[in-house]
Amino acid sequence: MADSICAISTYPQNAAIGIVRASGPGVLEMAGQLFVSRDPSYPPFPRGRLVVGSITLLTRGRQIPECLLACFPGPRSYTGEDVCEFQVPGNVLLLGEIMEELVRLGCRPAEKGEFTRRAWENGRMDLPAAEMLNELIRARTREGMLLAASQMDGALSRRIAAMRQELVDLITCLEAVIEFGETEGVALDRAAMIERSGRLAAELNELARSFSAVRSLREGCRVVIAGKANVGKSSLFNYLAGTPRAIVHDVPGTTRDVLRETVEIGGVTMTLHDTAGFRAGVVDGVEGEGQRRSQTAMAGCDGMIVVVDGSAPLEEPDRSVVAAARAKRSMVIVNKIDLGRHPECRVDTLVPTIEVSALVGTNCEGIGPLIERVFRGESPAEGPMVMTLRQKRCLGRAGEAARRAVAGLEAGQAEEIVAEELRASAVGMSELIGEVSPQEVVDRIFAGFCVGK
Amino acid sequence: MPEADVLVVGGGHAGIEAVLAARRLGLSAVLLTTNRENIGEMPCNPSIGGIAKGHLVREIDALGGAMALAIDATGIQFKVLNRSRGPAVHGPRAQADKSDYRRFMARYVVEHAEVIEAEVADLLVDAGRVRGVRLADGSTIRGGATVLATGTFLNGLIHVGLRSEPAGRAGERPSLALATALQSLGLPLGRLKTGTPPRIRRQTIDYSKFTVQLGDDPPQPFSYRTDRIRQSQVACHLGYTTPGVAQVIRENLDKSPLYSGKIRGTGPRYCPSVEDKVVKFPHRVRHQLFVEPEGRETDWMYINGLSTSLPEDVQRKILQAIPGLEEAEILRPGYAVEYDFVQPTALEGTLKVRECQGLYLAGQINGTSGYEEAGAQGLLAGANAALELLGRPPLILARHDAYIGVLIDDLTTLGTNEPYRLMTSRAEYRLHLRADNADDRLTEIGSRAGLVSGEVAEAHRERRRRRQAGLEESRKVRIGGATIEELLRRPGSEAGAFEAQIGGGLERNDLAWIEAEIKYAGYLRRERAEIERLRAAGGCRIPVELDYGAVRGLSREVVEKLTSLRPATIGDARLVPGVTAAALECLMYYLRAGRGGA
Ligand SMILES: Cc1cc2nc3c(=O)[nH]c(=O)nc-3n(C[C@H](O)[C@H](O)[C@H](O)COP(=O)(O)OP(=O)(O)OC[C@H]3O[C@@H](n4cnc5c(N)ncnc54)[C@H](O)[C@@H]3O)c2cc1C
Ligand SMILES: Nc1nc2c(ncn2[C@@H]2O[C@H](COP(=O)(O)OP(=O)(O)OP(=O)(O)O)[C@@H](O)[C@H]2O)c(=O)[nH]1
Ligand SMILES: [Mg+2]
Repeated sequence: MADSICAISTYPQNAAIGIVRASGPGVLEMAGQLFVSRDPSYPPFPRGRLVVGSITLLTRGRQIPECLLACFPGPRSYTGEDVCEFQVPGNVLLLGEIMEELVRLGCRPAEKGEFTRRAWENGRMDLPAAEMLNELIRARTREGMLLAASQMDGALSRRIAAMRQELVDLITCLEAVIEFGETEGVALDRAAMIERSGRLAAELNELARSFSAVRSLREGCRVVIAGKANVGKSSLFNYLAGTPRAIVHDVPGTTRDVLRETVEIGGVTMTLHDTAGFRAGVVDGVEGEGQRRSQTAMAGCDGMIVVVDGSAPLEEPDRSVVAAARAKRSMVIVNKIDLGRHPECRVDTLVPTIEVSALVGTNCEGIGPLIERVFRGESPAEGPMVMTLRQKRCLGRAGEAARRAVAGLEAGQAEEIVAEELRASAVGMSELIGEVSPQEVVDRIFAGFCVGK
Repeated sequence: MPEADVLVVGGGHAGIEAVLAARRLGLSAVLLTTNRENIGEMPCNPSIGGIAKGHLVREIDALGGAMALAIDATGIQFKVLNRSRGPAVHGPRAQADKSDYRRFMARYVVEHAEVIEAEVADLLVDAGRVRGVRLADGSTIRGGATVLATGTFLNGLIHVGLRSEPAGRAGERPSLALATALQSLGLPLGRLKTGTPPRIRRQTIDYSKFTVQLGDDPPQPFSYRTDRIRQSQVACHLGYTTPGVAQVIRENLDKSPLYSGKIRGTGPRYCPSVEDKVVKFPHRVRHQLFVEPEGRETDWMYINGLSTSLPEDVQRKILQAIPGLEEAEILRPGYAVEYDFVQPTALEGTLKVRECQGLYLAGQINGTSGYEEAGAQGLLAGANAALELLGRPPLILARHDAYIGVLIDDLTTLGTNEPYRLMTSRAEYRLHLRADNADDRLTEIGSRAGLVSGEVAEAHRERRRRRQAGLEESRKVRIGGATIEELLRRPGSEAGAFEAQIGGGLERNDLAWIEAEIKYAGYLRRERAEIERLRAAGGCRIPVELDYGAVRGLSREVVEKLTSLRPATIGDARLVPGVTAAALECLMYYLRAGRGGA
């Protein structure tokens, strides 16, 4: 059925090595036509071993020396079809010329994610595993990358499959009662049914919740630096970002817009937000608008760094920012200790606190380790996790239907209605593992891939 | 040489509906059967209907068939099963007076069609088309199309203990020649088995050991054309097996043709023999038994739940271990029958044999079990044979139209390895496919095909108006602050309780309909939106030059078929054998998304 496809699999930029990959019927023959092996005993090329040689660009009458070729006859290949990979000097123009040759020989440039899509269609990979691969390739944080890698073993699919089996058992109990309850004297144990479907609903719920924990690991923690005006927030922001990104000035109310900078500190990836400082009595004008933006940023963030001036007494704007920070993962930096320590600047001892001077650098080396301690996500829990929004939605549907089934059972709802909910739950799970996935969902998943994977 | 438009072979439940359907479409049709007296014979339990099966009877009726009329006229106890559950899984069922039922059917068929008593031995095949049949006496009858509905008779072999003899069913000769003919046509044949319990003499039962089971009062008719059941009802009786029964069976398993390996055919999982029940469910200390009379007057009593093929002396010992049956006299021992069937994946959705023109198959020959499953297929096969001759579009019901659609789609796309029985859990749209709305779903379809008279269609429109009015009434009338609609949404509530308030002129079926539409409202909206989507897609045109190979998710086989047949619309593609719902989904998606479907 399938035609042959080809794509440049490495980033399309000049580099030491570039890879062109092809998959489908006939690609091994194409490799034979293009590739001249240094070892004359090939082709046929050995499975999965790199062969040294050169590529003949037939249309241009040129040779590309120093090439490698790896061949994987299907079905034991990435896509399940015949696959070959050319490793060549990584010049974009050169890679394009090889693509042209392959197209002339009958390949078609691959669509986004088409290699992985074929792997899935040919049963080489299940849907969550394919999604994880995509996550792995696109991970922007170290934690996200590690997490995706840890999820590639199909644990999620296995867990869902097990839950689905339990669901099918429950549905079968109901169906048996509906079909044979009266004639064969089969009775429904409602209490057991409530217990089992309740457990299932809880399990689905818990799994769906793992998504939010995963998200901060994957996208990095959003941390807002907040506090009274002029306490040195922008100075600390610049210090942590390693560049003078924000304007520092002795006029209070210097920062107005929220500034963002993604940084990695002690292995924790985070997006730092520098915000306008608060000043008692200021509510209008440009500064008032800036403070409103600070509030919004504080409400939507995952964590906060509160900055206070250690040389002055703690006053109102300080207290309410500290209070807001209590609801989140947070820490306090007591700044300007070069100016001396004011006895009435006492901060809640429960919040991790460090005293520094951003201006002269006192103690600043301690900020990194403290940030790491405060903002490092819980290392991913053992077992399967929900990594994508699509997975979460499927689970959500399955979980809601299961909860409605439990409620129905408790309310004495008729068996066929409870069965309807459990069936809906099973559909949600099946969609998640890609068993009965409607085509459109599948397409959406694969459209999210880089070309060439 | 005599001749008719449609020839139907076999006067069982399938054959009857087939010949009648062909006649309703205005063609000449002949029923060929070995024994006139046995038209409409119930070889197993003397009852019609049940869960899912009752749905089928209502659907047959909505398409103008005879089964519902026959049971309404001859039933001796009517009872809707699953009353404690919602209307979607209510199963209308009735005990029949077996001989009355036969007589009714024989008369009805003779009134509407021609019957010839004969054994069909061979098919007249000419250039890939069946053009008639050859009888056992060598004479031939020509026909435009032929429907085979020979039930369990093909190479039938019955077993009582380790004794076996060739027979179609007890006391009737098997069809050997015809089986050979089908084999030489190259049809894929398989072997199945089914069984029946012993019949015992009424006077030898001690009824004091049983619980009386009464029918519904008033009894509810099956047919939309029956206004009420006039005959009085009789009682059935409920009893139980004992550990003693299990012991007798275990001690004698070596004498069972099932367990000694003598029977090769696969039996029905859903209607197991008592030896199967004991072996497979050893933890159950007892199993239910129903004593059901085979007629109002007869001495013959059917022991529902005691199907067996153990030797007669073991059957006697089993009965002795059952309270109330210790002294029971066996009139006919239980037995098992093994027979050939045609793997129904060889059929198109019209029940026509794919590789052979002019030949249709219906009933147990297609691997199903049950009178209702047989009748439903017969109706469709007879109608499609006639429609083909008339040059009109075929009658194919979708899975969302009817249980008949589910049944035939399952058979022709999945095939079967055991006697196939319909169950409500096989339906994707269970809350929509109900006994109470069979007429809403099918009368119009039947009317368009020509199977249903204008009068019946008009009566249906009237019913529909009446129910709709009742539904609206239930939204207005309040009882203690809540509308009837709100009250009916509560679990356990029944429309019957509000009969007086909802308004006059409503039949029980109308009330069930109103209850269902209210109770399932949210689910029905979803199901019907989905059905609408499928229907709308049915009219979607497929470009003539479409490259099916480019459509993702289609198997090679489906691509080949679609490429050679080039259906004009999605609706037509649905009729191509082997094209599953999933394949259609892929096709629809491809057409919608344009090139590549990506
Ligand atoms: C022993 C036994 C046990 C059963 N147990 C069950 C059960 O437990 N549950 C259940 O649901 N169903 C059971 N059934 C099945 C049920 O009886 C059938 O499914 C149903 O009757 C099938 O209808 P039919 O029209 O396909 O065939 P049948 O009712 O079998 O009718 C076939 C007809 O074809 C005629 N015929 C056959 N060969 C020829 C020929 N060559 N020429 C002319 N006429 C011919 C016969 O005389 C007969 O009239 C049982 C049947 C038997 C025999
Ligand atoms: N002495 C001393 N001065 C500092 C220190 N940190 C920052 N400052 C000075 O404090 C003033 C304000 O610094 P910023 O970093 O702009 O303060 P901010 O909190 O961002 O101020 P707004 O943006 O106005 O809210 C500048 O003049 C800094 O040079 C410190 O540790 N010690
Ligand atoms: Mg600032």
